[in-house]
Amino acid sequence: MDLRDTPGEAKLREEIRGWLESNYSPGMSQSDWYAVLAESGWSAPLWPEQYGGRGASASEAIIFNQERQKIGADPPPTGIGVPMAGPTIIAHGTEEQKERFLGPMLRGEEVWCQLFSEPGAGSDLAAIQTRAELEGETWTVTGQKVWTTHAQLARWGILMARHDPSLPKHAGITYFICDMQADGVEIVPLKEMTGEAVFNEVFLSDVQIPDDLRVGQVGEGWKVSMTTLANERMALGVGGLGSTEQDADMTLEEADAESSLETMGKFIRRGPRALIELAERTGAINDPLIRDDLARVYTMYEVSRFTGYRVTTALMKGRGPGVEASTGKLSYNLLVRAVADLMIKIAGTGALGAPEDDKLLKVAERLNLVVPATSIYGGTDQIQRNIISERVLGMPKEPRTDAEQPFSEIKKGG
Amino acid sequence: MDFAFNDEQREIQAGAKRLMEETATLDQVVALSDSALGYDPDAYKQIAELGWTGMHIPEEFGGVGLTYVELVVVLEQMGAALYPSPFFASVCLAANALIEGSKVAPMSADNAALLAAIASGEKTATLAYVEPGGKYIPPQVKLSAKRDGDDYVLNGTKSYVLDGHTSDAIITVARFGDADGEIVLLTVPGDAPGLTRTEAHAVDPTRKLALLEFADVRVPASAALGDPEFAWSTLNPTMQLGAVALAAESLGAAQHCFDTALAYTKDRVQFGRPIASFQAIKHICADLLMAVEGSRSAAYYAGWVAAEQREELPAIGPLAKAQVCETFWDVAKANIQLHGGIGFTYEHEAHYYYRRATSSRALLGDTNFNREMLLQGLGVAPLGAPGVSA
Repeated sequence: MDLRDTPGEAKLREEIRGWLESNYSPGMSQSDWYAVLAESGWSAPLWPEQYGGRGASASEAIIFNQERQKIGADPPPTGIGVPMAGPTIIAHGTEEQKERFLGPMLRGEEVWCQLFSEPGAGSDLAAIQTRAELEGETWTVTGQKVWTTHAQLARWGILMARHDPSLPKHAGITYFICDMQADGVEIVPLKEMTGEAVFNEVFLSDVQIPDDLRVGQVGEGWKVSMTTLANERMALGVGGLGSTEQDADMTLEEADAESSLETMGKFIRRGPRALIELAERTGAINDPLIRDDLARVYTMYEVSRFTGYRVTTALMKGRGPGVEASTGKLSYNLLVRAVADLMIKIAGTGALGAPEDDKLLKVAERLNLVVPATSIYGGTDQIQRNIISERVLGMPKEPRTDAEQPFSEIKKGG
Repeated sequence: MDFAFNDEQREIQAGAKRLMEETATLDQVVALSDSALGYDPDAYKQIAELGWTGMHIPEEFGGVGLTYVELVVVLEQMGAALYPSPFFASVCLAANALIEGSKVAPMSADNAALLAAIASGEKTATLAYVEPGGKYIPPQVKLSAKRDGDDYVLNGTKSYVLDGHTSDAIITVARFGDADGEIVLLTVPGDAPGLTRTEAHAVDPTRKLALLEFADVRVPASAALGDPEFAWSTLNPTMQLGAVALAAESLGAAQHCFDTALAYTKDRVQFGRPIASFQAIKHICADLLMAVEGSRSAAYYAGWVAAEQREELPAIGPLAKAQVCETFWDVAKANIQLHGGIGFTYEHEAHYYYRRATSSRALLGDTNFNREMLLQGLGVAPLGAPGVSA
């Protein structure tokens, strides 16, 4: 047990530092940086070389990420594309699809969105009712999707649709790539409780999708979507929480600098010291109950950091992350809520309404309005607990009444 | 980065697990806790021969010279079995006090001999830091140590002393002056004239406690550990290292409770199906898994911090103690709940773990106290400090 670099890792770190020094400069535009990353395979280092990755080991990817953060360089293109759509296309797509889509995705030239959830299919994702009907070589797709991030920016969407309602619910689903510029795609922003619209509703009316944009076989959509969702859980959990030591020490000045959504994200990931400083600044540190809360939240951060080391170790040894990764999203949600709760407690009467010039209180106010969503999107906390108990702990599923008979005959929401 | 046990550590782990399975079944544990001594001296010899009692003690002091990480490995297994033994008091408290003291001032010949005997398992020792009334905070150290020529003369009481009635030596926190900082740590032989040792009632029968009454107990000045005028510099790291050890022990016990409860939910059938298929049960188990895994991360990380003597120890020791002991408490409670009626019978093992959890949570400072220590370990001024209102 030793958390320091092995000699091999130290050598790798030197090489990566050297590469970053000669390829990154602080003033660089994002598109130039993305191009450099994609050219060298660093946009998705774990992907095979023939698909634009480096076929790198997890150690390389992790060390690259740490060194990149140290110099303040942007991460590679994120969102739905590289983290979720890419791995799905690599695993289940045709060579033509890989050829067409992966390059622009890695260069950040084409944004992707996810057309999965529907008004009647939230936690029960297999209950989707969007229809896809094949005529000749073209599918006609009609239905309504919801909770679609970046739909208005997206060039492409990964789509689940029902090709045969007479089959049992999981068997009647097929997976597609949807052209977001096609006729019949209508995007309506969905205003959330914060007052902002991060998500959209997407209405699909007789949208034509050529059969060569189908991913996997007809009727294999559920299986294909599992690849996407497993990558989503990883991205929201382990990926969302920094696992490097440098992550845990954001200062109050840094957090103070701006109250953008990005800063808020950084604050959540790196804020334990800043929370203490904030309490010292406001005098809340004199309250024994706040002190206890601070220690509890600090502990949650640290436990995430230590668990991150376990995940990193497993990845570096070439093992898939185990138990500790499956719990990532849920523990992150619990942490974020605890941080929000503590911040508005520290704010005291400031929680009634943050003054415009107090950026940190603005972060607190906004965070408090954001957190109710975090335990819902990407699989609710309750669904996460089902997943953990069934897949990690081997507890049996609840008996169900909707899995065997034709989808058209079962009770549906919506 | 390698945050995992190496081959040797995994071998120690497997050996410890095997030994616990052979020598510490629940029946054996219950029988030992009913015995006069509270543990099996032959079994203690056995673990000493395996090197456990000297595991992390440097070779120059007669130990094996491995690290705190190996100590964490065996403690986890002992905790899982509720192994009754003076090991914790002797190796994880007294030995650490002697080692930490030696970093401040050279050890006397007697103290060096005691440490070597702890390491070899020939002798046991303990640490007496609590007095009636509670916490080991400066104002509560009342046991007085008056200088008389070359001796200290001790008068007062120590309570909740782990294995205090059976230990060969007791390292005692005493006040020699009037100010808060003026304390001294002294090694007192268990059979010192004037020392009365009484086994005290303990909620956890597998963890023996004693009340120690000092009436003109006389020890030489060479009995002192560390700085004889400011023993906090020895006591604080000792308590932090003790906290790490208790976290490791509690991790094993928590994991045992969780495994037992989970297995039971899969066996137990009600309403025509295993209760493990009900979401009300599954969600409890998912939460417990997260707590136990988080605690595993904390206990192991703390073990590494202790092994490397990193500067984080004053924060990480209390952090790990609070985190793991709270988890153990939650899991021990849930273990009873998930077992239903059988869970609160005397014949079922669950209450022994619940008792241990109650005890571990209160030992070495309760959870609130350790959270406060964590903050102070991060450099936050204590309440009542200048600029901080009490």
